[in-house]
Amino acid sequence: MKKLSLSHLDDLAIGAAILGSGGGGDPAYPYMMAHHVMQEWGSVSLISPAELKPDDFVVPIGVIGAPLAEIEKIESGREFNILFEILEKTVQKKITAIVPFEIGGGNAFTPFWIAPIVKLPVLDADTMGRAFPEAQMTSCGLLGASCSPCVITDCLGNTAVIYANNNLSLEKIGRQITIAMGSTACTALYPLTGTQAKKMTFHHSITRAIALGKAHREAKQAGQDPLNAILHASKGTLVGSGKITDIDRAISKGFLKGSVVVQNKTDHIEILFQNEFLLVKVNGQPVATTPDIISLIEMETGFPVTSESLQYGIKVNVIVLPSPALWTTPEGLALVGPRYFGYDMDYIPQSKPKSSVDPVEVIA
Amino acid sequence: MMVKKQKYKVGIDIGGTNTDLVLVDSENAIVAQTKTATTTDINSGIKTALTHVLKESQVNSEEICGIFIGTTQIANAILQHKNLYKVGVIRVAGHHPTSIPSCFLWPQELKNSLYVDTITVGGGYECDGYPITPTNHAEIKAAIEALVKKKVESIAVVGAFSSLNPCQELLVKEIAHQITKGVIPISLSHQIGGTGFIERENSTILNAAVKQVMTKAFQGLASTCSELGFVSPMWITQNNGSIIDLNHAIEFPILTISAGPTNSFIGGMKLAKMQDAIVIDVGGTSTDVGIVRKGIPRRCLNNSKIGGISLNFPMPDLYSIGMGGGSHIEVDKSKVQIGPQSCGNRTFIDSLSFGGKQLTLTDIALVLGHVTIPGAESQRVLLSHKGCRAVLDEAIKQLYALVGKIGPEEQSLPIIMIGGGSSLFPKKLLDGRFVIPPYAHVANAYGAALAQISGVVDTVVSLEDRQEVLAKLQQQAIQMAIQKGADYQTVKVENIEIIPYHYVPNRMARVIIHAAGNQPPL
Repeated sequence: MKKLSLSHLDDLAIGAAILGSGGGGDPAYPYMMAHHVMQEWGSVSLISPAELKPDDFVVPIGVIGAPLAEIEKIESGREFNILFEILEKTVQKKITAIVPFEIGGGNAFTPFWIAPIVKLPVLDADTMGRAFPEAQMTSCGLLGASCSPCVITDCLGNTAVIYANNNLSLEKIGRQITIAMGSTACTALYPLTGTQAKKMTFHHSITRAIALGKAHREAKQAGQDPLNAILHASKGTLVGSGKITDIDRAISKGFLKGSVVVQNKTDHIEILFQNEFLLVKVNGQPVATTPDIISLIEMETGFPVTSESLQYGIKVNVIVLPSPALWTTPEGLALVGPRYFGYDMDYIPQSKPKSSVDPVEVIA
Repeated sequence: MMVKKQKYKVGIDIGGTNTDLVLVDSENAIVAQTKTATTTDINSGIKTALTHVLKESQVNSEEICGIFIGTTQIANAILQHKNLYKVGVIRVAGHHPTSIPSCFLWPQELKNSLYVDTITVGGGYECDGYPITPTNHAEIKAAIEALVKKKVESIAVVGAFSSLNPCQELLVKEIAHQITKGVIPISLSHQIGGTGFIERENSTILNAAVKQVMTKAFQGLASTCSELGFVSPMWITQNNGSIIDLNHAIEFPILTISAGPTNSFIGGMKLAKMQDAIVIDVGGTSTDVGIVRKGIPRRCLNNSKIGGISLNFPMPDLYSIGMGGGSHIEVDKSKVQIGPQSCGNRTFIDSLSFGGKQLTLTDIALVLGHVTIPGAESQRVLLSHKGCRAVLDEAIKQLYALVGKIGPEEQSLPIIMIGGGSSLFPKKLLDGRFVIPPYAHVANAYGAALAQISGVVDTVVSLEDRQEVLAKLQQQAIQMAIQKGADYQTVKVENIEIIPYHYVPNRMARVIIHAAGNQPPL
């Protein structure tokens, strides 16, 4: 068991934003919430999957809905107290640990703004290995755990308990409930036994995200370009660099869909997104796809840019980080591969990372 | 034969230390300029400067067609925690959020100097426009009475999604006015703008806190100007380099918070006749570094910050330290401390070299001979030459660290040094890579005189007919700028921001369009 304190939150924010693949929401607000709670209630116990006992009751949690709604209608802070009480009453079991259902974006912080209050440890793992837009896109869903009961609680305490026939049904029903709750709500889904949690989650996601943020911070402090540190720490590759010259965004079926063009002297790089960045084309040729993690890193600051905070004229590096291996199996790709998102193409595995590339040379 | 009379405009920069003034002709050439210590009442300093410049240039006050004022009064008040109102906050949010308290992660001292309490009342909106909970007249009344009892001097009202619908915030204002008889100023968050509850709350609290600073600064300025025979309108420059009228500036002082740096970056660049450069502005209280690209100061990507507080409107991306010509110097056995306290407008009175009691950076530069100022007696400084060197080394170290914060990609740009304190440093600084353009010491006043006139449309619309709707809104922003007096030939859309709302039918989105143009030819 490790203690996670306030001093780790800055690194977690950077790591989680990079792993968000442009989605999962900006961690700024969840960061403040975690900071506030840990300041008032103390540090968090982080347990490793190896420490789980078979009869533990581990609950993946997070905030669902539209990040833009969440930053206006900020959480009351009491959602999970209500949610956990109802979940425990429903299944007649005491929760022994909580775990973020996704490590990418703001949800990496969700356990940290409730764990110190309810005095529960946080499992160093997650169920997506990045950020994804839909509830069936979890490792435990793919590996056969039931998503039910799923509990959704809004900022007024309104709570729905869903027993779904299958994971896709949960996504459909849960989304409508979330819209009715004002497009942002807190949720727990795929409640797991200790044995399941050990088998069905991506291990050490939280410490890995913190390590990524730490590499970034230390490079910046040493006056170096954090890009190389990120690529090194994540085994990622640089696809290209340039200036954002076009952004097309629209909301379709509840998702922020669109494309962004990054242009340099020789290459036209187009990144397609649906909340997350999902596909990169260089001069019309696809070079990287989901489930690999596609991130845009602002050259000036070295910070990741989300699909919601894209701005004309900024210069970015487009990088690709390898996806967890589970997602690149045929079953994984059926769930989160390019075809699921409507792109008529196969997953493009990344070649071995090149040695460090100087972005300034690339952009000229 | 008709002789077309020459017309002029006046640019004024009111800094913490000096009030700078330039008189500019119709070709934007500087005809006369002056620099005088900023007076406590602001007004008499401006009067002195105006009188001086008119006399020197032999220009009549009727020939002046516009007065453009930039001021760092607001930023300085926040950075120095001075003259701030005690603020009470009303959150209009029926879900009573406690997850992020007001003023969270603010510097403690600043928070203590202005924040009293937050009371949350029912109301707020969902993203689809429904109220989160209904508002309750009696509850709002009780909240305001409670704040009044706690002796708040200014009230900030922030409602969830108030940018979609201002009704609830307006209701709170109406009730507050009834109770306080209009004595306590009310700042409403939807008028200050931006999405993001916390950043908007921060901006609104600061706006509420600095209200008296702006009012005090410009009290009596109108009568001074008419006394001197001016008939021209007065404008205050905003963060984005465009102008608003005096009444607006008094109502929304926060919108002028970074006008000082914006003006100095634009002014420095125009004086140096460059388009792309790093600009370093060394003032009396602080030093700012920014980047100008294609003639426009680079804006912050995401969050703008001032004094460590996140705000949510565009501001120039700048790095700042509390070091300037008037900075207090403390020399300990092992440590040199420069600023952030500054003698400000009393630098040439309170500095040791001028018979005062405070060791300042200006004293150090005088002892080391980097600068000579009439009337200064550097022998009054008792610190050894070696000690002075150590202080200057520390100042240079801080300046280098500041420039070092600019990304590697911009490091090759030329550097323009401006501001009253630019002459305090040795000339071989930064490998001699910088230029000090003519009139560098009044660059910010020059920048104010060149300020643009803008129109901003900020609305929520359906983007079902995207092209058509956006074209219409762009036209609206352009028309607005022209109506305010911008030259129609130069008006163009500077920025379009589209923020789509997820899960809401009809592709609803918040659209912010900013159009700006030059002042009409004189």
